[in-house]
Amino acid sequence: MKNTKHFFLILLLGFSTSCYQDDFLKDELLANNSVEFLYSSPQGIANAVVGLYALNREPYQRDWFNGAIPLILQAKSDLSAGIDGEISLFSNCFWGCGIDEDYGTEAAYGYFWGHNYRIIDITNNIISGGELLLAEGSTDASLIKNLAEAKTFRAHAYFTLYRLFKNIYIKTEPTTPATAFERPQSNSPKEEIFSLIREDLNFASENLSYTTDEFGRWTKAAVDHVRAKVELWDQNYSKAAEIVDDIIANSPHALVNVDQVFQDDLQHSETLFAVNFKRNAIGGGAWHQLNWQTVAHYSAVPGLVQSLENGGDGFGFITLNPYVVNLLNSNTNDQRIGNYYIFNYRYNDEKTLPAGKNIGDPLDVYSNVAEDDDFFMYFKRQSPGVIKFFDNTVEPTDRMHFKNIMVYRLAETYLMGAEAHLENGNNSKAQEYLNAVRVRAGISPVSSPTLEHILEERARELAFEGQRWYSLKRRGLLFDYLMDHMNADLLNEYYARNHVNPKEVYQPHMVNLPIPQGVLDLLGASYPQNEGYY
Amino acid sequence: MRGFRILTMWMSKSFLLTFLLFIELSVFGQDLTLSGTISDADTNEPLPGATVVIEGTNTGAISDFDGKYTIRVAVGNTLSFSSIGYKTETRVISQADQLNISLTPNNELDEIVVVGYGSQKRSNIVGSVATVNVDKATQNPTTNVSELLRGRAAGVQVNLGDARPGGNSNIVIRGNVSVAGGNSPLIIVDGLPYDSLNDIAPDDIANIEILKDAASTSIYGARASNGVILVTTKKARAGYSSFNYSGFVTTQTLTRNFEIYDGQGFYDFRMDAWKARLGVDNPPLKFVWNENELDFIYNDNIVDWEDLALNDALLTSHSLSYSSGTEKSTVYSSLNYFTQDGIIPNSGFDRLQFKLNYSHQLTDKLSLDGIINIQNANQSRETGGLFLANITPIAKPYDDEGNLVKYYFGQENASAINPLWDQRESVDETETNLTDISLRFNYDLAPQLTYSLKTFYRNRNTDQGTYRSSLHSAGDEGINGVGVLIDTQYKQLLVEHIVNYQVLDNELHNLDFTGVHSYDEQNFKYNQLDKSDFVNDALGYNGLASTLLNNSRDVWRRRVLSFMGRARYSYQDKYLLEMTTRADGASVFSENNKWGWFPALSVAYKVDQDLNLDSIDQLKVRLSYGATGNQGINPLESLGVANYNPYTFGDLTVSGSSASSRLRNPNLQWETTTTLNGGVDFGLFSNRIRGTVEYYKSNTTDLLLDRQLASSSGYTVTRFNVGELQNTGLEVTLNNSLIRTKEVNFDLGLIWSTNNNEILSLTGETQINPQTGEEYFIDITDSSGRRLSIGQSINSLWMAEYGGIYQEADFLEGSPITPRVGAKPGHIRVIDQNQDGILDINDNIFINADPDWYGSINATLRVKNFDLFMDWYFVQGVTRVNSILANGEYWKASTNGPVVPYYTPESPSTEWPMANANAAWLKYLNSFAAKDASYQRLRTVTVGYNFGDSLNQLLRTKSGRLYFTGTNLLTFTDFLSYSPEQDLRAGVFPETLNMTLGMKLTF
Repeated sequence: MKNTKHFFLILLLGFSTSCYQDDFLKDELLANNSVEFLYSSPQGIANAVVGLYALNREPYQRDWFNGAIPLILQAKSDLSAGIDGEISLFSNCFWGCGIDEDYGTEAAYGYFWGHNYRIIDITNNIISGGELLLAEGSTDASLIKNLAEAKTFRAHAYFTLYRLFKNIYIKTEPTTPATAFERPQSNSPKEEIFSLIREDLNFASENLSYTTDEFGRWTKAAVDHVRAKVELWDQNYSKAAEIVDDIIANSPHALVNVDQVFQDDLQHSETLFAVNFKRNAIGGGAWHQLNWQTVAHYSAVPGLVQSLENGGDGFGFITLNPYVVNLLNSNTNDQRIGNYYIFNYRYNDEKTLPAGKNIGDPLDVYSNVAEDDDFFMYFKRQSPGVIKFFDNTVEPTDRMHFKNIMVYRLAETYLMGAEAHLENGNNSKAQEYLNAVRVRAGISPVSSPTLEHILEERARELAFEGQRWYSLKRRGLLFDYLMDHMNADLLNEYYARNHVNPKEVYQPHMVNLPIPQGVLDLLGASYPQNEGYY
Repeated sequence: MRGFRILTMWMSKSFLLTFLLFIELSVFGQDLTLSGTISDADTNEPLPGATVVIEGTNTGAISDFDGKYTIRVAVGNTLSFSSIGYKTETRVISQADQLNISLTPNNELDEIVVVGYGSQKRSNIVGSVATVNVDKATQNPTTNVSELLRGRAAGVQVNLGDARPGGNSNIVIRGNVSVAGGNSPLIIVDGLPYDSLNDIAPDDIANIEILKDAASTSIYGARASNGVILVTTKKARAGYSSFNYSGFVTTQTLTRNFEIYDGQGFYDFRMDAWKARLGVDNPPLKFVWNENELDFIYNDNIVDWEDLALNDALLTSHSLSYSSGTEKSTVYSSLNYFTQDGIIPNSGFDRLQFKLNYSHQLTDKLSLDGIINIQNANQSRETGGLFLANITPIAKPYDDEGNLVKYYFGQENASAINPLWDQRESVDETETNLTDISLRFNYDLAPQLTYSLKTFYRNRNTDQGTYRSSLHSAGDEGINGVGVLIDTQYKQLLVEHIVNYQVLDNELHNLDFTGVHSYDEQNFKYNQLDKSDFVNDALGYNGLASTLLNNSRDVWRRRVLSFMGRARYSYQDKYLLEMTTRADGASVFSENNKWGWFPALSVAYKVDQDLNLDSIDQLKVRLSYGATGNQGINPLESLGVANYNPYTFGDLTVSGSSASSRLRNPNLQWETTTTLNGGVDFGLFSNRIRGTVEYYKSNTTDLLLDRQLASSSGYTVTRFNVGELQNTGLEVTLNNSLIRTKEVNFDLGLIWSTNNNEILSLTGETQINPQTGEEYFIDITDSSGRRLSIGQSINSLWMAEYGGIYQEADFLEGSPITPRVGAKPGHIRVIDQNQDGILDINDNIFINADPDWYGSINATLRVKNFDLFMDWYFVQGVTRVNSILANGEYWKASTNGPVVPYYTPESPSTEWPMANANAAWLKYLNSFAAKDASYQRLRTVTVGYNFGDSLNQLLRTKSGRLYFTGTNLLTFTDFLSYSPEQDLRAGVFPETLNMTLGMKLTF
């Protein structure tokens, strides 16, 4: 019996002492890294910067609203016609033109707001952590380069936010539990925002080189391209021209042939910055479906099935509008047709081929006419589409594409340079830069360039690359251009049957996106909504 | 399945072994043969199956069908006579050979009820403890044990979670006391914490008690703020052996209160939607239908998807148990097998459970209790997101040769995937293995002082595999099959030291102390592998694959350390007092806030003892006040976590990380719920009318809240302690024995509960309305999108108020209504609350989603050997958004759905809006779809026959029962769905109407 007692006593003591170690109740990270690691060592910062690239890719692979998110600015520009799906609601102003129960504003613009501020907070952490390491004497070679990339992301996020929303505020300190509930009461003045953007980009430009072994990272030329954009926005044309000249003269980048610009994975000398995808690879990202939205739903027509030659699987949610189609057709032999854009879908299915058609004939059964509402089918199934996002390695029926997405390329640098020199009165330089792009596309050079020439060339060269809306807004032309040729006239009238003609809905104040109510609710009570929205 | 068979074999072996080991060994050699009859003292009916045991030995006998027993004893021995439901009698044997005994039925009030860390005579319970009638509860055939509690106890609300075979339901006791800390009650089975009631076989359950007020639950401290469900499983009794079989078979049938459009109906529905979209009377067919659809319409290719895909399905349960006991040791052992097919092919569940409850007196001071549970469960699920009610009936799922096709609109419409095809090409299986071992040593340090060491170890491994074959729409097109393998390991270790000290036990005073020290550690590991490019489809997810798409790993740990003390005192068995105090430390809280302290006090007065009225058998008033804590949040929320976020630069994958979008909170601490509870228990007219009325008010402070952060902070959410929430409620339980004769019994039970939930305070932050200058407390949005506002329930919908459907007349001059801009007749109207002509968030209202009240009425009628049981369940005043009605695709007639008399210019509905193929007008669908989901349901009807003597003799059974049960037979509700608790949406698994035939035999 005594033994039993002793046995119990030992058990009791054994268990009890094990409980009273100091850290028994400590909560520990067992399978995750801590945030402290990310910002307190050069390796952590390197890791966090790679995380920024992955975050930056996020909008392109969002599959909300049938994948509308990465095409919203294109939809709101003057070059697109929205036909179907959620993306069309942005182009015809059913969504995203107001704040009253507007799901598009709430969800999509709210995402833009939150996504960019998330990048900003992470870069704030990286920058303050990195600067502390530098102050402590860190000599890690990659640290400065990583800080430069982080600052580029911060500047780019602020630049994007400002261009979209105007009423934004600056925050350069990392959010902490103590400051998380602070509510700013007012927006920051433009000068402050631009001075931060310039400071960050100048640092990046000074500390990055023109080349990288890791395709997809920010390089000096890409940063300079963004710097030139900032100066254009601020109408500082001489500075913009100077930066562009420097890129063209000193960087290893050069224009490539038209048929190579969107070939394969975009690894060529014209690309300045691209977002990377890789199928079936860890870190390769989820798929995107931009091609599915921008190529017509030709496969619904008897005689046609999805094929690589026809641009893969398309559903025709959004397409090139007649304005830009006419611009492209206004020159004979514009080689961008067929390389950037697909104008003809060809019969390719023996089994369902209608009488009177031959394999290889272009689809031409619909026209953009009011009679019998035929225009609707024309836009949905036959209208010229965009193949800049087309991944030619997927099955023709697959809507999930993994092609890298072009963000900035040298052709745009040339056109920005043309505009800057034109504004500075240097017509010969403007002509040289503009014609470099025109001649490359196989169309005739112009002798006395105008702003209209440049904007038209931007439309032809860069349609659906996400810059059009910004360019028109910065020139103060967005409202006028939309009134002239938004969507397509017949589509606008068709929308009016149920609602209102989008041209009547769209107002001059809408060049600034509304700040979603859900965002405003969590800011200070006096934080200003953009003018015109109430 | 192979593992399952091995387990079955192994289990049957061990079962047999146990069976052989514990067959009682009777020892003979006494010098007197004693016999007699045991009968019921009230009715004088003989009592079969009563136990006669010689005290201090393991020798005994059992009375036969006529109540007769025979036993050999020595003169001077003491015999104890006992039977379930009767008071035990003892006699010292003198020189006699005949001894007839009549046993008095137990007074319900003398029943011993299990409470936290001990037991208590029912009449001496001070807190709020509800007892579930297990016989009534187990009438429904299910493995979803939570459903057994529905309508069985006041204040206990059961909400259908997942009607899929192997699914579960959510239990809420006395309303939601927490916003984010979880509202599931703590489940204690035989003194051990369980994660899910579904881990118990219904046939093993002996008792269920529900502890509702803080005074009763505080002994469990951490996690007990949502109430405690105490389950006791069956144990053997000394000197009695029995062998039980119980089995049933059930058919499950689809039931619903809506029709979906057939071919013609859907054709008209979509044409009407396009009429509205295009604003013309005859929309060109080419807009509305694609070429294939037109072809199908002309050729009458119409599909009834539910008819094709759903089948009536069977559910079968077998359970065997053996129980036997001697004075020194008792053993209860059971084997349960349950198998259920779902009405959606490919879905199903089977489970094999083995249980052993063993007690042994090792020495005169040391005893041992052991519990072993072993389970193997297999769940298969249908392919994800299946929603048959939603698919167009104009389709062609089979080709002309009768083979299933992949695309029901033909190859060129690759997004129209035949659900039957994907169903055939998908596998989703989850195997769960659970092992529980508990050993408890009790040592009597002194006659009044006992020390117990309780140890418990749980191991739960879950292995899930899903496979989408190379033909499935998610695994085709060069992917060559996609497999996901998920492996989780969960281990729990619990050690408790318990000391019991009976200080006083005499006529006047009764005082006892209980002290507990416990530690609880839970460890969780998770592995996931996503693979593609399988060699072929033959081996499913077990096959070899050449591409690793993703792998992830998660590990977490939770520890709780507790110290508890309780004193119970009664004076003259009339005045009762109970005090509890408890200190808990939980690892999930921040560095300096690990510990919480939770005291409780309760008193009761047995008024009946002073009244001495014949008509009043019991009248007890109770009052309690106490606190409990909640630590039901995830680990790591006080720490900053980085998520893996790699990127590919060219062909190179580079590792990257991003801060989690959840901001750490370094001040995270306990959420505390303080409950005041008052109750009256009464029993009148020889306990023919028994009941309890209770009122409670519980206040939760430092609410653990997932608070949404301004997105400009860079984060989306943080865990936060804030504010105060109050739940008040009234509960009534009534049991009436209206007829109580030898031949006929009729009992009527009524349970009614109401709960009111209100937020009293939030962060205390204020804002000033720039328009009015008025200062107000800010609302908070939690991470699930619920808006929390002072004065409102936490389960509120915040939306514009639905105000009907716009009619032509509303647009005429002089109409009292000013339609909103852009509205047309047939559109949804919402109310401009502040009448400023603008519809915005200032017009939103809060709609309380919780029920006003809920309850049940059950009736039991017994006539001789036949019985009839009927159970009605009521929920009143609950609001739920019906997803399908809020779905724009349905109103665009892009998808099928319930047939409703929607608005058309020819027959303008005032209840249902217009179908319109244009998404642009789809505003305020949520307001429209927030529907009253009140309902009345005949949940159960059971007709049973209990074997009479002659049948028992014939079958050599001690007792037997045959029964037929119908479940979910009738439902009255306006809410369109398979069940009023099921939101109609993709992935929903319909709750079914069930018919059961069952049998119970005891040998």
